[in-house]
Amino acid sequence: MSLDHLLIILFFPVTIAFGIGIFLLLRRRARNREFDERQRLARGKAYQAAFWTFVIYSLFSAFMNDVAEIQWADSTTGTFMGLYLAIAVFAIICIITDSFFSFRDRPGPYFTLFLIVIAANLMIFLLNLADGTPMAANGLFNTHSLNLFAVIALIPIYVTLVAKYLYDKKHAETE
Amino acid sequence: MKNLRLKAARAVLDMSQQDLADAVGVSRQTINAIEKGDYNPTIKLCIAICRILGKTLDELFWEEEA
Repeated sequence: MSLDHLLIILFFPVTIAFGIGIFLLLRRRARNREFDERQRLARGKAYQAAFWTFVIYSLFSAFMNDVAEIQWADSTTGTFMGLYLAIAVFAIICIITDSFFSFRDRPGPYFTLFLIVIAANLMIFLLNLADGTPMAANGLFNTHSLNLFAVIALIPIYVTLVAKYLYDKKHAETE
Repeated sequence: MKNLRLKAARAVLDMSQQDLADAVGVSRQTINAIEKGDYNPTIKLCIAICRILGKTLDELFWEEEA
């Protein structure tokens, strides 16, 4: 058995163990995020809106592809566009109804996290662009363009977050 | 319909919305929504609020006769 084979044999269980560890950590963190009854109700409605957004997008996309023969992306990219749209709808509705953050969360770090994620996706997109990696093939957006669409989805979420924060600060209850 | 009785009961005890929210285990925005009449709380939450404010369900949440 060569060293390469040994490394490959060791790689899988270590990766799986790492993945399980991350999953358990995130699940424990998710359990600590407590939403009150009003927030759970609002999040339920947001999930519904996101679901129907994805369904309508999928139907529209299928109609355009099959009937009108207008296609804008390959199937993977097109599906992810729909997912990004649905996630943006969910997040924006939650932010507006004060159910994005649990009442135990401190929102501060999330503002920075959002900016980091937007910047990272933008950087990857720009690096691909500089490399000459094609964002489209045969007139259809491919998976190399997904970082750009992620940024396009994240920006309205971030803007809504900031606007809500400023609005709440201005209209905070005066004692 | 606005719940002014809740707001008044809270004010008597010199509690902010955040104080009451922390005491009953909900967000400040939920207390605000209840006081503005934008959200009808469950009976469980109503009872928790009544306990903290030392009032009965009738005193805080029963609709006043027109």
